[in-house]
Amino acid sequence: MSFDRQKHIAPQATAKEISEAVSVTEMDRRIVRKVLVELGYLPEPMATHVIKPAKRRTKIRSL
Amino acid sequence: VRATVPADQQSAFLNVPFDREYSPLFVTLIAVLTGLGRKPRCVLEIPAAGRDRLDRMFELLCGCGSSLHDLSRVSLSGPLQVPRFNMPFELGIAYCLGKQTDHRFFVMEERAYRLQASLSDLNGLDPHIHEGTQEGILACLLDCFGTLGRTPAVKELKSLTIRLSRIILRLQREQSRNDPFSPHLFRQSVEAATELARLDGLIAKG
Repeated sequence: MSFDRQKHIAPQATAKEISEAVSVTEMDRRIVRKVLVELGYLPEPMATHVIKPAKRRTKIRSL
Repeated sequence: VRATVPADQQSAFLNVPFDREYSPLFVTLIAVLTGLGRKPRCVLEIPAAGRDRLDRMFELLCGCGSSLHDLSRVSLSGPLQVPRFNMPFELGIAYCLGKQTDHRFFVMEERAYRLQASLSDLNGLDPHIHEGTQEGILACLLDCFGTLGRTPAVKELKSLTIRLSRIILRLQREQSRNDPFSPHLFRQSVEAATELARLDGLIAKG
């Protein structure tokens, strides 16, 4: 039993462990990331896909 | 009474008042504990309805290696103007746990010497006094918790608290709430604190 002035020492948990402990959902994560970006604490997510040029749909009629 | 689940030494159970005035102090608790690499846990994780609520609260407390009990709300409150017994009740459970296991519990109060009048059974044992301020809470937490790695500087923890406060205010506004005491806001608050602590290099990604 302890009710004293001695510190409680423990190794530090990782970010993943802390999130898992309180059952953070994917939706929670998305909401938080959005606010972090809006407040400038996280950089804007970069677009990762390559934009392909549109296919030419009109057929060129042969003369 | 027997502890039924093994305790996680990194989990710290928060037994604090859930009122609007306490919100900034609650935010500080989440920010600083996370910055120190602890997992803030509280009764908000347990659904309000259900017959086994008390058992689940007991299991949650048993699963935490430490607990913090803020006994600063000793006045009458609510529409019925009654004292709140939940916090001393949960402190009693933590005391019991501490007798049987290596669970560590810490008591906080807003004012010095008041606990001697409100809970004289604890006479001779000094609570941590936070004076109702965020800086006071920060100092209490640094007195109670240590890390095996580098302990973050006070400046770093203050900065984390300020940013987390802004984020939680934004989340409250978006979700039309006056306080952060709801299950999803608690999860989101911990997630935001975790992300900030990770960005600051206080904790590892995992």
